[in-house]
Amino acid sequence: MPNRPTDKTVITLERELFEWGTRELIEYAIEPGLHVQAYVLSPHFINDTPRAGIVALHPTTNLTISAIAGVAGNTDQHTAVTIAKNGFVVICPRCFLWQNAKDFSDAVAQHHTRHPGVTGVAKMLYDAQCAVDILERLPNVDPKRIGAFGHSLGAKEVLYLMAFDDRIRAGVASEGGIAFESTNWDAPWYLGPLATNISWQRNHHELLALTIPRPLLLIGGETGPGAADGTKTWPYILASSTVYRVFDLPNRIGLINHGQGHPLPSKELLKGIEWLINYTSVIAP
Amino acid sequence: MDPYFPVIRLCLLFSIAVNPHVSILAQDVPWLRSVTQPPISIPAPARPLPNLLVDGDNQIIETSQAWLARRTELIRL
Repeated sequence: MPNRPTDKTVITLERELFEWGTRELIEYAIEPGLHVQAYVLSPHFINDTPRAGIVALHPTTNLTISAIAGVAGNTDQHTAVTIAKNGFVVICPRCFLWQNAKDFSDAVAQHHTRHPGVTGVAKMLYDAQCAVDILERLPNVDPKRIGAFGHSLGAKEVLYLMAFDDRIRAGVASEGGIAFESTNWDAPWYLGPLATNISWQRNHHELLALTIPRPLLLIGGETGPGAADGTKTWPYILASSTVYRVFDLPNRIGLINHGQGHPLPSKELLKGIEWLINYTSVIAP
Repeated sequence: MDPYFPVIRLCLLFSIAVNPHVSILAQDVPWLRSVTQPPISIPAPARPLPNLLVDGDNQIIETSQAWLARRTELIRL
């Protein structure tokens, strides 16, 4: 992928005021000639103290950022609103699969035309980092207190973002699927054939290890359609958490296995928010 | 009140203040242990997961500096 844009100009397209704060639809440059839209949710500020910021990455849904930001869909999809109500400034960028594309195949084809040989995951990582670039420059966001949250597709993006971007202090990834075989990592918009190539030397326990010592909470649903994380995730957590030994710190890669399938229950969402509040706080290590 | 209580309390506070491990633990979520304890039975992964505390030259990684160097290598891969 190219260097991320130096032009961080943000165009505000819409602004709505709510009891809990404001929601803005913004647009910014992401690649030469390309822009992406995102919602920014900001709680009301009672003073000028900067807030922690969260990159909230949406799951697979044709509602994209409208659902996570509370514009459309069911209330249980409005996760970014819940996060903002807990005091965070939240940015929700639209995944490239839905930005200026007819369908996933079209989005992937466009991406490969611009960047031959670059995986979809690399593009998602690049886009998420662009969102961090915007978030950390927003007024009243403390750039040293950035976290990441995502469910399903969004959780996959959180894993890569947190692994490759040290600006992310803490993360919550619900049902991304750590094991290659646990979900559709082999889709052309993720890793493609790499995920099923047994001679490929890389695996996701390395990805988890790259996040250490920053706290990462995984949430899994164990069984049912689409369930991607649960008991089968533990070998990866245990293999990666050996790295904590060299830091002389307690293991901070955790897993909540709620056993209720792929959707994220509200109770576990609140646990994830508690995790983010704690580990993006001023005093957190 | 136990006459030694203030002394014990002072000793405890001092030990927390000088021990970074204790103070870090105090900043974790109270339920950290419950989410970092694996279940008794864990399935084997589909592919072997190589030991991460070995560097590219097959040397054992024992320090955070050595891991951070290995981490840089992994990111480049």
